Amino acid sequence: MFRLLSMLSTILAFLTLIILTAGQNCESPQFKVTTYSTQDARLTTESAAQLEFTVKCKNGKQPSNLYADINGQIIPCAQSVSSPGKYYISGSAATPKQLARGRISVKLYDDDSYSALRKARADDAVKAVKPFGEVELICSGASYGPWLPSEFFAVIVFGAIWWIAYRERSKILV
Amino acid sequence: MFFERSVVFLAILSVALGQTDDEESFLFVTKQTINRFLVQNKEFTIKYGLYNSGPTTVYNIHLNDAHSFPADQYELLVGTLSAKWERLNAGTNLTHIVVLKPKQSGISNSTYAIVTYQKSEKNTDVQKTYSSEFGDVYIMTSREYDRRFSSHIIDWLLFTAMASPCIVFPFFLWFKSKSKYEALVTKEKSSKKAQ
Repeated sequence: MFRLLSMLSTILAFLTLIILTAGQNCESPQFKVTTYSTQDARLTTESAAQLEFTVKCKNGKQPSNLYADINGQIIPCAQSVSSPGKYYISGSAATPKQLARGRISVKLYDDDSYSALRKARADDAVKAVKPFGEVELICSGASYGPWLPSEFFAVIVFGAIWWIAYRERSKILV
Repeated sequence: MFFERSVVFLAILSVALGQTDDEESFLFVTKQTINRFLVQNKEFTIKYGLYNSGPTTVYNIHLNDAHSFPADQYELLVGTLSAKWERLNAGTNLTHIVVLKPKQSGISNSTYAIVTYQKSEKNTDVQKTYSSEFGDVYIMTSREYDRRFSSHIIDWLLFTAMASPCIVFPFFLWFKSKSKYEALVTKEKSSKKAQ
């Protein structure tokens, strides 16, 4: 009787351990990302960029919180209240150069890796923390409008026409 | 004597009770637009900044601004108007960007966003705060914006099409008479040579 009870309790303990650990972490997450960056630089004073992504985990769990590493600063990701499962990372840059055309890689951390990151003090330890995932921000670069205004071409074309006419006229008049 | 002492005592008591608790933080929220102009059917970018001033972390932050931008007047392109964050550490700040597209032109009024948060993880008392607002804004029609900023190529092509009769017709007359004159000159030369 006693042996049965102890066996049962060990099995129960083992099972609870499995359930507790299996449900917590998100295994091999997959990200679906949409990025946005300011297109028209004449319309805005600063450049803004945003990453919107959804996370899909192998075991169906959603990470409760995610933190993003932007330029060395770890900030929490915003989550949508109306549609759960969507995360947002936003940023703005005063000069368009900081959000120039290209790709910026953003590391993501979940609760466990974030606490590990906070505990790490030395630079090596900080680098050794394995991030939850990594997403890319694709900046298309803000445009300032066409390089040469259309008036420039209009002046060139009509000026050329005038010059040809003037040349012929001076040939006749002379 | 007794009166003075009691006044002093009351003063000390009021100062001691009136001081805000050092342990709590306060969240400041700014709401501003980074657009120079607001144009109908063009992107309207709003930046929310959340600043945690104070020594402690705030938790469970909810930002709700859906009432400022009703769906019939604005279309949501990027971001969400109701967002939440789990925590904001002391002394740090957050930015949230929302991009809308105004459907109508004219003067539009926008109010402040409502932000709720908890000052501590255990205490579930929700603190409500309001963001700053940028008040009345004028949304110009896309025609007004194009008049100043579009590339005008179509306008120039139309202008060329309208001006071309004035240029082509005299050119044609001149060219006809010039070719006739040159034909005459070469005829004369060849006849002179023959003589």
